[in-house]
Amino acid sequence: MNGLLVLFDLVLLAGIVGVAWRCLASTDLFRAVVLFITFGLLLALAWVRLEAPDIALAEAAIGAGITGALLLVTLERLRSIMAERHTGRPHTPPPDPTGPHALLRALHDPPPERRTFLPALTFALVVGGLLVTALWHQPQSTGLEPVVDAHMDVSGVDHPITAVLLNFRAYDTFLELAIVLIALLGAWSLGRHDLIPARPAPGPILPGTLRLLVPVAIVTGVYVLWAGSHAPGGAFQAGAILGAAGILLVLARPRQLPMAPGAPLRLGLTGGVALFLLVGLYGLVAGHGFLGYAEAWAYPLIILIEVAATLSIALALVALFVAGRPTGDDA
Amino acid sequence: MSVFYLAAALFLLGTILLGLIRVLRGPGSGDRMLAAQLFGTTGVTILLLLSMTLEESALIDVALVFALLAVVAAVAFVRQHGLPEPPDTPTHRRNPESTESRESNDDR
Repeated sequence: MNGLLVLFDLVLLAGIVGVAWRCLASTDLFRAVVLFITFGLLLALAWVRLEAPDIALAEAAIGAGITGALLLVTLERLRSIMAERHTGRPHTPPPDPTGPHALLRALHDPPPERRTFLPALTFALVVGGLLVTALWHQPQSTGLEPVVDAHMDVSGVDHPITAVLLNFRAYDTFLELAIVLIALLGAWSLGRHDLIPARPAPGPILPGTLRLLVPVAIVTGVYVLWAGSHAPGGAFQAGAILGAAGILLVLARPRQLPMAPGAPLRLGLTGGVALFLLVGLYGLVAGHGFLGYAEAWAYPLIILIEVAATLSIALALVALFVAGRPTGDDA
Repeated sequence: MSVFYLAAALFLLGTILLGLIRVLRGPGSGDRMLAAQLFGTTGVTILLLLSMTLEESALIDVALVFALLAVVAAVAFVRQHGLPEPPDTPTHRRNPESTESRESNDDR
């Protein structure tokens, strides 16, 4: 049994390293994307084996639901930009290596591979050596598990990970939510929403699939959010699942995409961070410290914050997928 | 019984690694994408087997999320693939129909 587990881990490890290497070394971008999707699957299995089902759940939702579609759409956009660049100019002069589209060109026409193994090998050996030295002298420690276990009764929830994320170390989670929002602001600052290129899909299969799948995805997202209080799950995982449902809708109707009006969209996007901040400030005023809760109020406040955070994360992920500011929004 | 489940999971992991040949060699985009979709199904089974072996019921949720969301990449692929492209678009896709454009790309 244990021997088999070790064998499973070794095969998994070999698979992860092999897929990562082929993904990075691939000159075919589409192949690299498919390898990256596979990499996400193997990585989720690795998190399972590291006894981190919460992270496996997040990896499953983000890896399967979001990054694959995001990379495929990005690849198609790169292709259409390159196509625009090439139409009408069949005999292009040799491209300027520092021109505005130098990065795009480098992606599509990779320069001839130079055999520079020695610097790479030296770098890998040095970093590997440092990592091994660091891991060699690991202090004997049980980690923070006993501390968390000792304080579970005041946390308001039954799942240690949620207790750490939403109570003991709420600060980290608050800043993570803010990072998602800032990433979206960064994307919006680059320009306006541009329609995702897509061809019309004839036939009943795609609409039928969506009609069945999107409601199930919403139910699953709510379930994962609810499960977070006593089992692996929580706002980030639920937000990613709901975000994936939104991405499915965006992919299904790219030509007549109903853009949410500016103000409600912005309210939804900032709701998670804003509510978290308000609760944190109230804790400061009421004498529990910034982001502290009164013990009796911990459970309802955590659930409230998680619901708001889930909605904000889901909206932010869909908005990041669409990539630009909403059309007709000049604010 | 859990030894059997684990052996089955190991076998399925082996089939994923074998299936990588199809991703690496193609030849078409559809072959690669379908191989990845098959990995998703296999991954769901591996997660369910592991949840029985390790007696960790949370893994069933992970399997549920994978089963539910594996289709998103497929939908993205179906919606994007086959958009009309000008004949001289540089592409690294090795489709049978795009070998011509690939060659002209190499000539440049």
